[in-house]
Amino acid sequence: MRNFIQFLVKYHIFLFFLGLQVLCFWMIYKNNSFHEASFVNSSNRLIGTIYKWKGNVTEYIELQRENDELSAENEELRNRLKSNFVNVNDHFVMINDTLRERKYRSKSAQVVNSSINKQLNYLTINKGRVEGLKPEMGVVNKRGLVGVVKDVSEHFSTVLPIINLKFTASAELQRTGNFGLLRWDGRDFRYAYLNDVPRHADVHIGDTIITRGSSAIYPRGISVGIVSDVEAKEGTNFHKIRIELFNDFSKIRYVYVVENLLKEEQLEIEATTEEDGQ
Amino acid sequence: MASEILKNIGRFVFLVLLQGLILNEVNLWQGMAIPYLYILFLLMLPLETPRWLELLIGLVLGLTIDMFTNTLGIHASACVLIAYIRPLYLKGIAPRDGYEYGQRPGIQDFGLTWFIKYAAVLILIHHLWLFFVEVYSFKGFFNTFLRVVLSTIFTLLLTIISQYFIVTKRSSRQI
Repeated sequence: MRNFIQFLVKYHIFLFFLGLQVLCFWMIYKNNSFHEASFVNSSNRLIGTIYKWKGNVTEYIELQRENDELSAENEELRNRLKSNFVNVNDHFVMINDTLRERKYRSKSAQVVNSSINKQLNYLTINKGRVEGLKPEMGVVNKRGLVGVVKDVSEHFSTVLPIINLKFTASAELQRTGNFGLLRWDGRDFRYAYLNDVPRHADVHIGDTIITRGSSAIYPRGISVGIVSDVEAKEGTNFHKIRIELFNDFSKIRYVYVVENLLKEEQLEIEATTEEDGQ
Repeated sequence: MASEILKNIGRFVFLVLLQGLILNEVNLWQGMAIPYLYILFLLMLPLETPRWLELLIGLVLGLTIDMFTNTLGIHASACVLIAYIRPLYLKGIAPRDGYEYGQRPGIQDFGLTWFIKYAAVLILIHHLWLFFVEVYSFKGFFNTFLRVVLSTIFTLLLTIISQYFIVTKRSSRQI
């Protein structure tokens, strides 16, 4: 017993150091499931507010380009307005459309902070729980897929973008329908990879990659990027497909958070099927 | 003593904001070199800091930076490691007569060569730990190692430059 106490006294600093390291690694490990404890991330109020100030300053620098993009998008949407169309045949106007049900609802948000130079990059956006955001909602913008909501606080949320090693999504080749797993390799923020596409699939440089919409997070058909390079992965039956992303993550300012209103239902039925299978 | 604490708190806030708002966005060669100047705070802690306190300060500094980058625990781990190693390393590179009370581990008191020897090793260890914990694998070892080396050089340069700013400010110091 005395030896043990002597040991503790002699090595107390080292033991303290070890304890702190264990704590750190516990946090790193837990960070994947820290949805509840968003006070520790940049969605917390203090850091979120600091980032908002910063966003207010840097916003002016980018204002011109953002305005151009937004007005172009407005123009496109205005062209789709119902008032642009006339009824060709007055006899068949359906007033109450029960054939369609609303599945996705978007909410616009502004990016107040982002990084592109890390392995684990994140965006912080200025909408949170109050505005109805929840973890695991899809985030897109005009150019295409951005990422998925990770943590939510009252007024801010963090987004896990494509350019984060932890990001995965199911995506497919628009032309052939072959699908695979979209991942980033941690090197260049302009490129990502589509894995697990079988070798027999016909892939060409320039093919468009879109989301598959299988995970109930994003709608199907959100564009991701174009194929910039294809090679056979050695020792496997799969292609190695490099994708040039449509989104320039160094310039993202406005995004839309997409809520899937039928998500619960899809997950429920999928869970039931899995249980039956066992 | 009290002014020393205030000065350190001010330095903490300044370096954390500088890191969180500006330096984290610096991005040379597609993210190959990122300066983590904030560890200058740990490098400049007084030589007499109790070791347990230094470890705690490392933890707090790391966690604060982690909040900005959403990497809970990663910077904290690297900072705690530096806070543990620094006193041991300081002992190893002590001048022949040891340190005098009140000396600060900077260029002004110990000269440029000593400071580079002091800062380069600690920055390198910090970056090695940080980058490898961040990718969490030895896959693509060379790529990560290159990022470590380039970032270390970048951080070291900023650290040395910052020393000269501090020196000019301290020339009017009253003893």
